[in-house]
Order: sequence, then structure tokens, then C-alpha cells
Amino acid sequence: MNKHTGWLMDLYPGAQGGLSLWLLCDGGERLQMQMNFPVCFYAAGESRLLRQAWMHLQGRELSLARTCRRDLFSGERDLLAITVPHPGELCNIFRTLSEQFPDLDYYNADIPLPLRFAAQTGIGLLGRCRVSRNEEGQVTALERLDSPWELEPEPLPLRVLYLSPDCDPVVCPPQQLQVRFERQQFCLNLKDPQTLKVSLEALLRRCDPDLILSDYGDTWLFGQLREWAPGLNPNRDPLKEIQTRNAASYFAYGQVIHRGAQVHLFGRWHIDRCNALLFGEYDLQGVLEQTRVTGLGVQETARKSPGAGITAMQMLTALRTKVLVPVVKQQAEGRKTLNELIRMDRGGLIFQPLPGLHKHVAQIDFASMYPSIMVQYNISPETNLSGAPPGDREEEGLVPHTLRPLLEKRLALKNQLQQLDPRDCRAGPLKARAAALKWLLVVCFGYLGYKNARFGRIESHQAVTRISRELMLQAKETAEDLGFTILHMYIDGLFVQKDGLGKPHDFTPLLEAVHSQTGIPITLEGVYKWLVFPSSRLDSRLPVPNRYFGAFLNGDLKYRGIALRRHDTSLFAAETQLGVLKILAQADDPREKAGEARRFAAWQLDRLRRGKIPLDRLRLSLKLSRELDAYRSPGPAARAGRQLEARGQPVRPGMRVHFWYVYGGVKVSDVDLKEIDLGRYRRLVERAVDEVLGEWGLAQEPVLPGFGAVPG
Amino acid sequence: MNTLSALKPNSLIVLAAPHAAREEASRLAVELVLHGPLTVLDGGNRFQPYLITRLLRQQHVDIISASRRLSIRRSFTCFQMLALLESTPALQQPYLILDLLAGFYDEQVGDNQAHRLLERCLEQVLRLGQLGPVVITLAPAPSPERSFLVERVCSRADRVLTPEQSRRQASQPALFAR
Repeated sequence: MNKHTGWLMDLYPGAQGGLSLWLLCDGGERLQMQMNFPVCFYAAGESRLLRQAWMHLQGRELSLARTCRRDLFSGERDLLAITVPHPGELCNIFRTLSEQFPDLDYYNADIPLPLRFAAQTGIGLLGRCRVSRNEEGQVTALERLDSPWELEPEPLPLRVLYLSPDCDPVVCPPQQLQVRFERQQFCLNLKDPQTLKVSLEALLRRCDPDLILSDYGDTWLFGQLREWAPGLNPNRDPLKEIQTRNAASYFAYGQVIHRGAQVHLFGRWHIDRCNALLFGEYDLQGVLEQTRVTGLGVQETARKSPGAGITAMQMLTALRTKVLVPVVKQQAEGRKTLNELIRMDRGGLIFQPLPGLHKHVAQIDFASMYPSIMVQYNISPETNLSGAPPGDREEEGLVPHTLRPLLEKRLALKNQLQQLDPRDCRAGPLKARAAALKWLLVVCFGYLGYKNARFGRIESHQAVTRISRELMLQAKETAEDLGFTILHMYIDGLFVQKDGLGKPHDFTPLLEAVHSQTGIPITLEGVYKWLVFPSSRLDSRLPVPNRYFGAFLNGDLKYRGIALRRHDTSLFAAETQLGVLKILAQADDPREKAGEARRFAAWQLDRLRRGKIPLDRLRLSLKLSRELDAYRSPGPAARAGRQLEARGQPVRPGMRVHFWYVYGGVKVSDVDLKEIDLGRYRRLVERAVDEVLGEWGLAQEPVLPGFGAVPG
Repeated sequence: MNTLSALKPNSLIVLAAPHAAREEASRLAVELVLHGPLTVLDGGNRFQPYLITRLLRQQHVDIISASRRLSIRRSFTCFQMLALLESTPALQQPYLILDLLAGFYDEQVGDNQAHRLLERCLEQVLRLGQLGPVVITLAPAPSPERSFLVERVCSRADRVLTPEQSRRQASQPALFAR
């Protein structure tokens, strides 16, 4: 009998049945083990149909039983429990059964394997554990050594291999593959496939990476490797082949999202940074943190939205508390009168800003307001949604039970971060982990109202916003009672001002009063030495919610809703706007620096005119919101999409297309500086500059003599 | 489209138009609620509460009691639409089902499953229609593969109404160029 201690890296259905586990051992070994792991799903419905289903399944290598479990929405249900000995077979058995008996309700049939494993053994992916195995490599015992909620988990000693082409394959065919492993860095030539195959095989053998972190690996590299080097198997498990998943466009978070094709490996991970939804937000550390708390695999977590993470966490809670996980949600909204609907179905509270320049403004934000409400008021599909705080006897609902540890961990990490010097080497990873948890908390509220959320309910969603509006009003009244002026309120944050108060500690009594009134912690985001709420471009008398820019006391900038924050702004326009803001931030009154900022903008425009701006700074990026044929009057994005399509590139809704404005239209590649439509870029830059300088009426003057002011 | 005049007890009327005849359905809801209780079942987030309230105000009626006569329930998937219909009692009042097929157009739902669920939904629609008229609004299928769903619903209807060709109205030209 052998015992090993380490991190659980990967698990999946084994090629020969059962479960395949990979352990990253303390001694540095990467061990593969096998384990018997039968999995169970349920069917419910009319007795007649269940009996037929039973007869249909008899005679197969399955275990069938009658049982009873709780559906969160409809209570206890009589079920047919179907236990499949090999987890890899569940999918096929479920598919054929549901095709044969479509009128039955199915439960626990599509739960990711790592979640089943975590629910049964208590060990989630990346969790530390002690494993005993016999001579055949079969796991005989497992022991959990840590918890996903530990604030300082032991860091994983990962071996990471970086692979990236020398250019964006959409723009031009790459010539070289850049390779980085530990301190080595070199390039592989892509012209000779045979040499490339031999080099990559040698590289994988020598480095034996745990993670291949690529650029365009999903959408280009592995697809090309299949052509160039057909025999190459980049998996650590030699019995497995690469798993590919098709590209998809879907509607989520109010927009069309395109997810490129995916390449998943076995025994080691592959993450394509360019196809991982929020990798740029929280990096590898954030992905690993999300894996720890959600229980999903690393490759899944990196590519899926945080909503999938929240769903996984809820599934895990359901499995542990023996609640059924429906395959499809079937509950519809309850009956409401027109009045009730209008009263209940509103979003968060917005108090329009007072446009203009303000000095010594404090921004205070409720900490994770919506998740806090869900936990504190026990908002869950199966609980009371009256909006009153729950009594002591009330059982905690599935959703708050799932969120409570997540919320506590996020707040603890945030506190740790506040106490750390930003230059401390621990600050970066800690920030990434806190951001990863924040994203899970951000989406958990939306998921209450999401149509496909297994444990969502529109009434719960409405209850959260109803409580939040009440709490915001309480905060507003508390601040006004203390003599503050409210400049703006937006969902969970307030901008307040009071004569004579300008230091962070001046606002502590306000924070304490609001916390004691509402019961939800509120924090000081910062004190601005000056803050501007721009007015609407169309009508200067109108305010615009959540659009502002300002400088904190230490000179740091914060901005929302301006060109810098938008994805469709070229880097050059964004850099110019940021440059202007940085100049303004040097003064206690931005008007003092307006002239200097204007000169900077003029200098930038002069560089543009003289062709000194590199092409990559002028590239724009826009998202296609529909199929190309559906555009009635194609804009720049659709025209760029058509060019890509003409070159044989697949173009789907939700894809981001990159292009340059050139004389006579747009161009997606092979652009020469002489072709660039300078006038168009000038207007974009002037508009961005006008967005921040226009508040003081300076945009009426030409930014650069000879260029003229921004046309209306 | 004059839907009101086509409404008779035990009748099933289908309005097939872009955006599931959203505006027409709102006006129809107002007309119906002026005469008595109305249940709206919304399958595609087409219900416009603020527009309906505004239209009711224009009728100079007691808006509170009028709005109490209008009940609304929403579904967001085809599975939820079936659950919604199954749990709605048949009463002696009109039913307005908005964008019935929205959830059935979801690419994640296979053709066979969409067809099966729609048949079950239509059974429920006929049950509701036994006591009061039912009006269903439909948006065009997003792809030709799913147009069989529209055809199936229309085949069960007593009457199918489609938008009239918009007639160009005479208008005063602007005096000054803008």
C-alpha cells in the first residue's frame, strides 16, 4: 500500500472505466491513479412512465432503485435512482433514456464530475489530500487535508509552458511560435512541420508542463498542430486524445458573446489567454482561486463565465444537502397584477448626479451589497421573500448557504489587501484572488433571475432589488441627517459632500451610522480632491448616471463611462484621454491645468498628423452583435467582418473584430500608415479630449490650430 | 389588425407579426381590460407595463381598479411556458399569450423536443380556450428550420391575423431644412 500527499490536479472518466485522478505530489511527482466511482441520476414523473423506464433499463450493467428526495420547488418526490458504474457512460445512458421518455423529469444528470467527487469525498480540485493506493494504482482511501475557504492555501508548484505565435493569426499568418518555460525563451519556426513536431514532442517530454498557457491555442495553434503534426499528443495521459469543443455564440449579460472553439487536455491543463473570458481581470491566480471554491476544473473555470462557477457552487451545496438538481428549470413566475409588477420589478436605485465640478467628495460603497442582502435576508427560491430579516428559527436557504463562506472569504481577502503595502510581492496574487471571488459575487445576484439558473426565481431577484432600494434610501437619509449633500447614488454607492470635510477619517462617523442603520457594511472607496459629473452630450442640462472622473487625494484617478473605459476606443485615443486626466489630477483644481492638458492633446494630434503613432495604437475593436447578413446598413464592424469572411475566416455574432479606419472605409489587415484616415482618428481623439475638457467650456476652442474644433 | 372584432368565446386568434405584435398586443390588452379581467401569459418578455398604464390613463378610467383586473405571469424558456400554461386555471375571461414561441426558438432546444413541448402547450391553450377567447402573438421564426413551429400554432388557430401593409400617409413637408 502506497500513501501520497499532494494536490488533486485533474479528474475525468478513465479510458478503461472508473475515474482517473492526477495528484501533484509534495515530492514533485505527477501521479495518475484509478478509482471506482459509480454515479447516480434520477427520474421522476408518472408511475406508469417510471415503470416503463425501469423495464427499459433492466438488463444493463446498472443499479436501479426507488428512492425519495427533495426538489427545492416542489418538495419530496418519488424517484427512480439509476446508478451507473462508470462515470463516462452516464451521458449516453441519460441521453437515450430522456429521448425515450421525454415526459419524465430528470435530476442530477448533468453534474460535472469534479463536483460529484467533491460532494462525495470532500476533496475538491486543487485541494490538498492524502491518497492511499494499491499496487494496481487503484485508490483505496482518501483524506482531505485542507478547505477551499482557507485564506492562505499552500501555493501550487506548477510547471507552466507559455506558447504564443509572433502575431495575431487573424491579421497575418504567424511565422514563429514563441516558447517560454521558466527562464528559457526561444522561438520555433513554423515553416517546417516535421521539425516543429519533433521540437514540441521533445519540449513536452523535457518540461512535462502542468499547464500550457497559450495565445490563440484554442482557436489556432492546436487546430494547426493537428494538420502539421497529426501524431502529436499533448496530453499527459497517453490514452486520451485532445478534447475539442465547438465555438458558440450566445446571449448573456445583455449582450451577444462569442466563445471560440476550445481545446482541453487530460492530466495537464491548457488555457488560451485569448479565449478565457476574464483571464485579463484576474490572471492564473484568480482562475486557481475560482477552481478551489467552485469545484469546477481549471480548464472549465478559465473559459466559462463566473455564472457557471456560481451554478457549480449551488450544485455542490445541493448535492451535500441531498437536494435534487433539475436538468431543466420548469418553474414559471407567480401571478401578479399590473400594479404589483410595476411596483416589484424595478432595478437598483439611481439618484441622478448633479452635473459639474465638485470638490472634496467622498465615495462610499456598500461592500458586496447584493450578496450581503441575499445572505442577511435569507433570499433563496425556497425561503420567505417578504424582505424582513429572517428569524432565528428560519432555516438558511440554499443560495445564502452557498454564498456565506464566499462572501466571508472575499471580505477577509479584501481586508488583508488593505493592510498590505501595494509594493509587497503578495499584493498582486491576493488582488487577483479577491477579484476572482468578486466576480462570482457580482453574478450571483443576476443568476437569481436568469432563465436557466437551476435555483433561480424571479421573485427572489426582485426581492433583492427591493431591499437594496430601501437600504439606499436609509443610507441617503442618514447622510442627510448628518448634514451631507448627496451628489449621486448608483445602485450600491453614494457620492457625498459636506463643507469642511475632506480627509478620509472625517467620514468615519457617516460610515458607522449607515452601517448601524442598514446592517450592511459600507466602506469608503476614497475621497476625491475633485470630481466631475459630465452632463449629457445631447442636452447639457441633463445628467448622466454613473459617468464621472475625478482625482483622489493621493492623485490616483477613477473614471467611469468615458472613452477610456469603452472597448471600442483605440489605444491612442485612450492614452490621450488618460494623459489629459493625469495632467488635470496634478492640481487641486483641474481648471488650473486645463491649458497644459490642451497642449498635451495638441501635441498628441500633431504626432498623429506626422505619422508617429504606431499602427497597433490605432487599431479599433468592435463586437459583432448579429450575423453579417442581418445588418441592414453595415457599420465599420460589419464591414470588417465581411472582409474577414471574404478571406475565409469564420465570423460569428459576439466575435470581436479588429480593424483600422482607412480612406474609403475600414481594413482588417495589411494596412499601411499612408492609408490611415487621419481625419477620422483626429475626430475620435478630439471627442475623447472634449469628454474631459469640455466641462469647462474649453472644447469650443480648437484643440490644435489648423485642425479645428470638434464638429457637432 | 382589428383583433377585438374577431374575438369570440372559444376562439383562438393568432397575431403573427415582427416583435410578436408588441404594440398591437398592448393596445388589445388595454381594450380587453376595460371590459373585464384579463390574464396575460408572456413567453418572450414582451409585456409593456408602462405603455399599458399610459394607454389606460388616456382612457380616463379608474386606473387602480383597471390594473387590478390585469394579471400577468411570465416564462423565459419553453419548459417554463409549459409549466405556466399547465398551472393556469381555465376561467371565463380572455387570455393573451405573448410571444408563445420565444422559448421554442432557443437553439439549445432540439427540434423534436420543441415540437413535443409545443404540442403539450397547445393542448393547454385549447383547455384555456374552452371558457374564454385566447389570443396568441407570435414572432417570426429566426431561422427557416424553426418555421414549422409557427405553422403548427397557426394550423390550430380559428383565425390568423398578420400586419396590414403600412400605407404611406400624407405629411406636411418641413418648411426649413434641419
